[in-house]
Formats: sequence, C-alpha cells, structure tokens
Amino acid sequence: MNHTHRLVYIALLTALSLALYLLEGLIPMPFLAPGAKLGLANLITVLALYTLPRWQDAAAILMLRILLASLFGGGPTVMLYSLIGGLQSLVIMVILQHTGLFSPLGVSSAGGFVHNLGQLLTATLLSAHAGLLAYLPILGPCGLATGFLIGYTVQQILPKIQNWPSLTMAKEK
Amino acid sequence: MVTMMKMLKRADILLIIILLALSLLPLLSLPDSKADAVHADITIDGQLWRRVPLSAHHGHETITARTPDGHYNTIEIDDDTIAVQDADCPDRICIQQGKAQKPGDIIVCLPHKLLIEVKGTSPDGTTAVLPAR
Repeated sequence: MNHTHRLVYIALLTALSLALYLLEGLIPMPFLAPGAKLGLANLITVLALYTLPRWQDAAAILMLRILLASLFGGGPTVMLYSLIGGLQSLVIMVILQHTGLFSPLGVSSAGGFVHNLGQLLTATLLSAHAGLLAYLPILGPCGLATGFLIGYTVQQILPKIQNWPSLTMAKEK
Repeated sequence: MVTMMKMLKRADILLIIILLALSLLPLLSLPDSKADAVHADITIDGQLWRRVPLSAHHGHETITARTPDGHYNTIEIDDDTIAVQDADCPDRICIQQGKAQKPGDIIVCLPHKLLIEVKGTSPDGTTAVLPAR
C-alpha cells in the first residue's frame, strides 16, 4: 500500500464513518440509559484496525470523524466524551488485537465495553457523583452487545474486501 | 457464511464473561448508595425534629412525636413507607392521608403544626447529569 493508496483509504473510511454516525442519528432508539447507542461509526474504527497496517491510521480516522462529527452537530462536551470513549476503546482494542488471542468479535466487544465504561468513569469524575456508576450494569452489557455485533459485521466484511488491489498490496509488503 | 460459534475463540468467550461480570459489579454496592437516597423529614412547628431514612429501611417501627403543648402523633414507618398511625388532634386528617413513600409526598397535621416530608431522589428518578455519547 503506497502513500496515495493509504491516504485515499483513510479518507474513504473517515467519510464512511461520518456517514454512519449521521445515519445513526436518524434511527430512533429506545432510551435505555444516557449514552446507550449503537455506535455504528465504530464499525469503521474496528475495520480500520484490521485492514490498515498501522493502528495510528485507525486513530487518525477516529479523531477525524469525531472532530468532523462535532462540527456537524454536538459541541465541545459531546466531542470531549466521544474522544475519551473512542480513544480508550481504541487503545484497549489495539492491545487485545496485538496479543493475537482474540478474534475481531472479542476485540470489538471489549472495545464497546471500554467505550461505555470510560465515559461513565469520566462523567463520574467530572460530576463527582458516584451514583452514576449505577448505570454500568446497563451500559456495560450494552457496550458488549453493540461491540459484538460490530465485530461480527467486520468479520463478515473482511473476506469480501481482501481482494481489493490496495489492500492486497498491504499484505504483500 | 461462517457460523458464529466457529468465529468465537475461547479467549473471546472468557473475555466477554469477565467484562459482563465487571459491569454487574456496581450492583453489589448499590444498596449503600441508595441508603440515604430517600428520607423523611419530620418537622414540628417549623423545626426539624427527626430525619428518618426510608429507602434503606426494613421492618416496622413506631415513633411518637410530641408537640410542645403535650399533644402527640404516633408515626409508623413500615419498610420504605411512613404514615401517621394515631394522633390526638381533633380532625385526624393526618391519619387519613395514609402512607407517604415517594419524594414529594407530604403528610400534614395542621393542629399540631406537624409536617412529614419525603425528600430525596427516587431510584428511577435519578437525573442524568451529563450527556454521554
């Protein structure tokens, strides 16, 4: 994968994840707990982790998406929480992925979990209100479930895009 | 299509189970955090006489509030409800008001200037403090 390929692929994934983020906003969701959501945009983050040679590229996509998303709607608070949750979840996923023990299903499930846990802990610290952790029994399994579904989707996507020219180049290198 | 069980590694299952257990952890300490969530303030003639914790209360308890001029209201606390059981006020409206339980509930005995107010945040009424996305 040469420089241009990489750049185009990163741009493509960023655009896709932004589109997914905006699309998710249109889907009505039952209110379970504050912060409970599908996290469709994380699909791209996980996909990037498994298709791009360097995890820094996935981090770039994630941060670009959050920055752009908060311009489209949201604001500084939402951006802060998205960044915290997203980066924490990315770090955990990178670590788990590099152990080689887990499939995308496990990696993504843990990522979804850490995303929610991280945001909850941050909210607890910022508000000094330990009662917020009472949401963990709801938000934790929610993160696991959405993460699992995303991992499943990624696992279905991977074999289908393996033959993309630029990605094969990455494998040969 | 590969079946889901084949894709799941043993480590995945272990990881998910551990994280599930971790997320249920706050349930263990929840009764503590709820302990002072709901309480009843009993005031006589505008002065706080007693504060009774309700959400952590189990069992049956009776306390008697005496007004400065010698009258009484017998207050009954049954689990997380509070009610006036007996009183020597002329209208006995305080007894007819029945049980108070939720924050915002009030029992008044006007002749004795006795006021029982249930305060606090209900377990389901906990307000979301910050938007988390």
